[in-house]
Amino acid sequence: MENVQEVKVREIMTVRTAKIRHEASLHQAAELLALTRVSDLMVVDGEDNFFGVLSEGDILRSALPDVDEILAEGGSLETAFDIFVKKGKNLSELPITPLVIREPISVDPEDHVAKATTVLLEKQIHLLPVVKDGKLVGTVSRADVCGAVVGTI
Amino acid sequence: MTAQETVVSQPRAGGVLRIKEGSQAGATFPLSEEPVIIGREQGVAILLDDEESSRRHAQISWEVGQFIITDMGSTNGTFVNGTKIAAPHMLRPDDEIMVGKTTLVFQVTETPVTFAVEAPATEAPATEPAETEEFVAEAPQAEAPKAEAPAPAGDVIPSRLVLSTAEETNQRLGHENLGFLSDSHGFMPIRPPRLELPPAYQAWDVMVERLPELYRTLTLRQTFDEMPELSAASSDLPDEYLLRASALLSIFAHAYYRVEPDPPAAIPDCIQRPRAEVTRRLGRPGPVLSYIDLIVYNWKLIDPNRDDPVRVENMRLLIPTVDNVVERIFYLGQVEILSQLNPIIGAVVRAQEAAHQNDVEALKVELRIVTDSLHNATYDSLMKIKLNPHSGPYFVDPVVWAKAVGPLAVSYEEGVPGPSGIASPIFHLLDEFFGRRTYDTKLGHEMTFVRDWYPQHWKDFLEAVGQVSVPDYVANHRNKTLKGIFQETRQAYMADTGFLGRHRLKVYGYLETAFKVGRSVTIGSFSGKFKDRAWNEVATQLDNSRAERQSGFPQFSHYANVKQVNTTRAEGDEWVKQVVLDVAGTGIRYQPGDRCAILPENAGGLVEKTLHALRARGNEPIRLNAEWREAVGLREGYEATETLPLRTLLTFGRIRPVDRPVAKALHSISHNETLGRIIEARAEDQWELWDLLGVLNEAGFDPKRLWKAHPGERESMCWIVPPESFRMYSISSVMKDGQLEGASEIRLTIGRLRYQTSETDVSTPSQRLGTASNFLGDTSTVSPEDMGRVSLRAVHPPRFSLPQDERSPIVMFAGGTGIAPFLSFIHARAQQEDAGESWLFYATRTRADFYFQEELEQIASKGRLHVRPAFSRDDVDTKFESNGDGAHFVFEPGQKRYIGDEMLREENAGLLWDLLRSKEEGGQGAYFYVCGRTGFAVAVADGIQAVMRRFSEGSEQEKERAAKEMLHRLVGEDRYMQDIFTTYTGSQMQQQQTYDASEVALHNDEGNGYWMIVSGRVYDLTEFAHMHPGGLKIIHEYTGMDATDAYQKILHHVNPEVDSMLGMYEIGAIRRLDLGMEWGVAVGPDGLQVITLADAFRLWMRFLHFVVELENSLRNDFSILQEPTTRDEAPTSRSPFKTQLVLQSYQRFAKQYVADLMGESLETLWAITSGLCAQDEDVRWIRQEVAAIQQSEEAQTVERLTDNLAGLLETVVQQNADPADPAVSPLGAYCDLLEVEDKRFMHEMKLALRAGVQVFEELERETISQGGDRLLNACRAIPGVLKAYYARVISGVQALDK
Repeated sequence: MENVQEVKVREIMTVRTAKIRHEASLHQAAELLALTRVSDLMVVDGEDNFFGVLSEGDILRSALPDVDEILAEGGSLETAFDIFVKKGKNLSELPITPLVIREPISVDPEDHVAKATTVLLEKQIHLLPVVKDGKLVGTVSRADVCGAVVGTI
Repeated sequence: MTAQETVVSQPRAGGVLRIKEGSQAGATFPLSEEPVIIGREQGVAILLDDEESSRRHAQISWEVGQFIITDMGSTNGTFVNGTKIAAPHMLRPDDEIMVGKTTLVFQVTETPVTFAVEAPATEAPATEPAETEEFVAEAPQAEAPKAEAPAPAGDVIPSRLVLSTAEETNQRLGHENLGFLSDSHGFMPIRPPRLELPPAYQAWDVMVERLPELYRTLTLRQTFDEMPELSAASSDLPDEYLLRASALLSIFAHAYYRVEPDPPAAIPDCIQRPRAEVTRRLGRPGPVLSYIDLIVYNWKLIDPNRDDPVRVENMRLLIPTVDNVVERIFYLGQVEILSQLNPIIGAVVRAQEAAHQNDVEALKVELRIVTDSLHNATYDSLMKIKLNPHSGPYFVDPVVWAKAVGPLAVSYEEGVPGPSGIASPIFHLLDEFFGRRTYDTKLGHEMTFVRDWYPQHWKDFLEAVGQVSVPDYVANHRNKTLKGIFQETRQAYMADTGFLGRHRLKVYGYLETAFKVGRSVTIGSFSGKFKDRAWNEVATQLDNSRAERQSGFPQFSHYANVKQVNTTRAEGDEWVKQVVLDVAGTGIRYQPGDRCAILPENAGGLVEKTLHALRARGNEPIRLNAEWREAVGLREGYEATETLPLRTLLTFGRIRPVDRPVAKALHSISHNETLGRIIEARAEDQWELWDLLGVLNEAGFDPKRLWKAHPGERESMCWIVPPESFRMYSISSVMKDGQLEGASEIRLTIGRLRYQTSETDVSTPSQRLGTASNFLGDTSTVSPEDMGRVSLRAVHPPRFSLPQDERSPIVMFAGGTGIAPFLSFIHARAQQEDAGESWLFYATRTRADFYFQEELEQIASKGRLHVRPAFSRDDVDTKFESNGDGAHFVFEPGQKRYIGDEMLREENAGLLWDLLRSKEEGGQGAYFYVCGRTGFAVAVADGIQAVMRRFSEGSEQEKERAAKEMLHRLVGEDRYMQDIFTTYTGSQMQQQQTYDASEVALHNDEGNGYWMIVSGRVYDLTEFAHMHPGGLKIIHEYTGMDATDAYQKILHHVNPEVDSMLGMYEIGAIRRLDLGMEWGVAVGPDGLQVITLADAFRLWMRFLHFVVELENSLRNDFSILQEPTTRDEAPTSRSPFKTQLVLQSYQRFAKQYVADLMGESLETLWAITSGLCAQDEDVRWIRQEVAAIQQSEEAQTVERLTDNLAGLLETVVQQNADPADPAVSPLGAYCDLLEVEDKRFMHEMKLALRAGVQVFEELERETISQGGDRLLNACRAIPGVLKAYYARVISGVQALDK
């Protein structure tokens, strides 16, 4: 047990993380989300400087039609579904920037895992960026913590 | 008709209801004194076969001689003569009641024998249904003359009956023990209060004389213990002395209880027994110190033969306790107010009669009487209770009030009401008259409770007034002038600038200071300690009660057409125009110096641009939220509107500049980065909604969301575009005196407001226009005829009117369009016979801006007006010369001058000095008025002080001080009045000078000056504190800290009079820190907890401000030592009474303040700071540290010392010695020591917290990484402040004891 208090974020973080460049389009982002199966993409610039987080929830939300749009197009579920598909297609041309969360909560690789865990739970975050001197060095998910602290990985 | 001529008896009940229409037509139901219910439920007296009737629909009852119908919460409502009744309604013969589909007619079967006069037949009301009936506005003259005709039988309204009965009874009995009530004296006694009791009661009268001395020496209880017991039985004490006996015994009892902080074992029998007898004889539910005892029957006239004698300056208290100036002014001020409101009592009754008899003209006259009385009381009498220390004899120091005067009246028994302001019968009367519906708030409950303890005539009268509804009558009437006059009356009572609004501000000013200096209870049953911020609770309760009064009555506005727009001057884009509003028939009235509040509209072009930015057509319906529904009710034709087309909403809403809350709302739904930076830089006011939407749109934000959202959502249009509010303009015209119908026109002088926004990274260069000035003056796009009706009100500023004595000279300073209010002054003075000289200093840029030159020449040529123009860009001197065709201004080559230069010219400086000095100082005692922009007001104030310095004697420093003091007095005496434009001062980002909160925290004392933060801006209020109408001490309460909450609580931010004045003292903005998203975890009450750096900073700041506030309060607390507390006491004397007050301060410091500072708040600060900055600190460390200090020998010694002081005082009192005499007792020396050390403790606490705040300010987002240790040490040092305090007190005591 003597090493328990020394569990650092850098020891459990995932280094191979799903990243996207900040000038990318939503189409690229969507493809990457589908490929990697993560909930959030880390957004960086050309030199791996951390830029922000893009979440799949925010993308999907902007594709869902609101009630006025549905009513304007006929009001049936069918039309609503059609609009969703149409809006989704239209989105793909747009840049990701408006949907990126700038200055999100992040952790330092030297932070204790308990600190990361507290913020993951309290702020309902799925994937926490690990940032050192402005550069993205990895991510920590709840699963990462479970595996390392409760499990034996 | 007088009471003496009539035989008064209770009328007998007799009436009948006949069903006129409906399935049971023809059926009749007799009415008697028993209440009956109408409905379709089996068993009700009037059973209807009508599906649209509710089961129990309405009730008819017999109350105070009248049949009253009340709706019982029916589904479809009860209608009388076509109008749905909202409140119990008094029935008149031939009234038609509609319940469901059934119409019933009410008739009187038996004439009640109230008055021995027959009813004239001509008075029968119309029987047509109300839909087709139009009330006859101007009563046809052919009808029976109303003036001399007595009220017809059966038509005697309840309030008249009670008033006549009271007058008759009081006269017959020869005393007014059943309650003061008369047409001539209102709620005041007809005979002045008795000065003494019969000789047998000399023992009591003697005690009245001795009360102040007994207070001062703290020998009150022992002296009363020896007072002989006298009988107050009716065989011994005649009825006519009962009220004096009551006042005197009640005040004795309270003085006995309250003179010392510890309650006595019991009130002695010599007070208690006769008091019980008096209570019984007066029919009170129990012993009480009533409003009558303390106020209404507690005054004597100094000169009874004076005109209008019941004035503060002509009265003394009959039974003073401490008898200091505070007690005198505070109580006598209330006597004067009540007396000024006397005419209301008769007017209310006559107004109800007029409504009852459908006599519109008479009703108008009576409403005007009520309005005028309220204005007199509000503008004059209420203003006499002054919080400004430089206002001479009327200054009521809030600290002396809180400690030496206020506590007396607080009830000491459960369930007994106190004589607080709400015990004044006038509030009850006006609430009844205006049909207040509910009393559910805390203060509402208190009012109904107090009323149970009123004398009989008051209770009867208030109930009777509630029986007839003038508001209902007016609401159903189509005469617009009547409606307008009625609303003017309501405003005079309820508006923020009316009686209740001004009263509320005054109450708040006293209670806030009172709570902070340790008063923990009030008469109105509020209680609380510093930490609970009880004064906010009071303000909230006063607000709730005001809202309750207003519920059910929509906001009101007059509507007027723009009659004419004359261009006074136009050059390029700039202009000054005269706008004439046709207000004939609205009932509006005003006096010189008043302002006109206008509800502006946005120009069509701007609205179209905004629609375009919203990607909307303009006809999209927007459902309104509550704020909008209320606001739009103030626009003609939009009353009770639920939905507006988007275009109209944008026309009536605020779409430029963008408000801070709107910018934040838009940011929270768009997450737009540019907008985020704009908000961070506080540059939102550089934008208009349309161009900001453009920025959001470019980044992918869909503006349609805004008008598609539901009214409850954060992004709803109702939130993004808040309704426009009233804008104030000085009125330039004069209303003819004594016009019942009100003014016919209002002339305004309006200059176009334009400003330029600049090119920065958070704003774009653009020409911006003010909304309101362009709305009224922009005739280029809309002609006056097409402008539609303007919503307006007249507003009387508390301090900007002509002197009451018209012979006093006046001096006016106008900057540019600041001439506006002075036109009304000048015209009004020209019409006055005895008006003194008027001087106008008029500063403009060029001769072309010399507005109204001809108008001024005309008046000036008659003498008595002297104009001194100063042109800042024209090199001319001005002379006023007569020639063939009258007198004219003649311009000669000369010098350009600013206003200050003009004031200091040799001939003007001497003249001003003569005008400035009061008559007592050998001057003319003129009244000074300033109107213009902020910079102009500053220049005039500087000029005035320069004049004062020039003519003062002594060294430069002495001259400086003399000038300041003289200016403070000038303001305190209300001889220096300012009307400053609310001008846009530029965004905060343009404010070059920024300050850190830690620096502001140091500016809360004489040495460093007094600074304050309001809405992110920093003000130096060192000088202003002396001129604040609310007083110096309340300003000092909030210096060194952020006062935004308090400022908004008392609505200063929406009061242009105050808000604009603040601009004169602005010195910069608070620097905003960039704390990023840094965060950490701490051990919180529930385990691990995320803490952001910003959270931690807020916590440190809040703690710092709490300590600053305590430091301020402590200083006010000890200021009692410089004030006389009892009769003839030298200000700095240390009487036993005053010493006792100070001992309470030490107790409070030791028991309450130290606990507040060293308790939970400190533990939280430690937990969060240690969590952010170190991983190895025990979260409990600081608690253990504080506990160890508090259990130390030193702490125990200091605690014993504080406890022993009371014992020392008792010894001094027994020896009848001077507590400050070191030969007698160390008490005085101990007190001085504790005062110094208590203050020093608070100061060092401030410095300790400030050290932590400075780490944040220096390192910002690097605070944790680079300053963690410093921050931790700052927190760790805090308990040491307490330890050092104990050590210093002990060594101080040891030094004294040697």
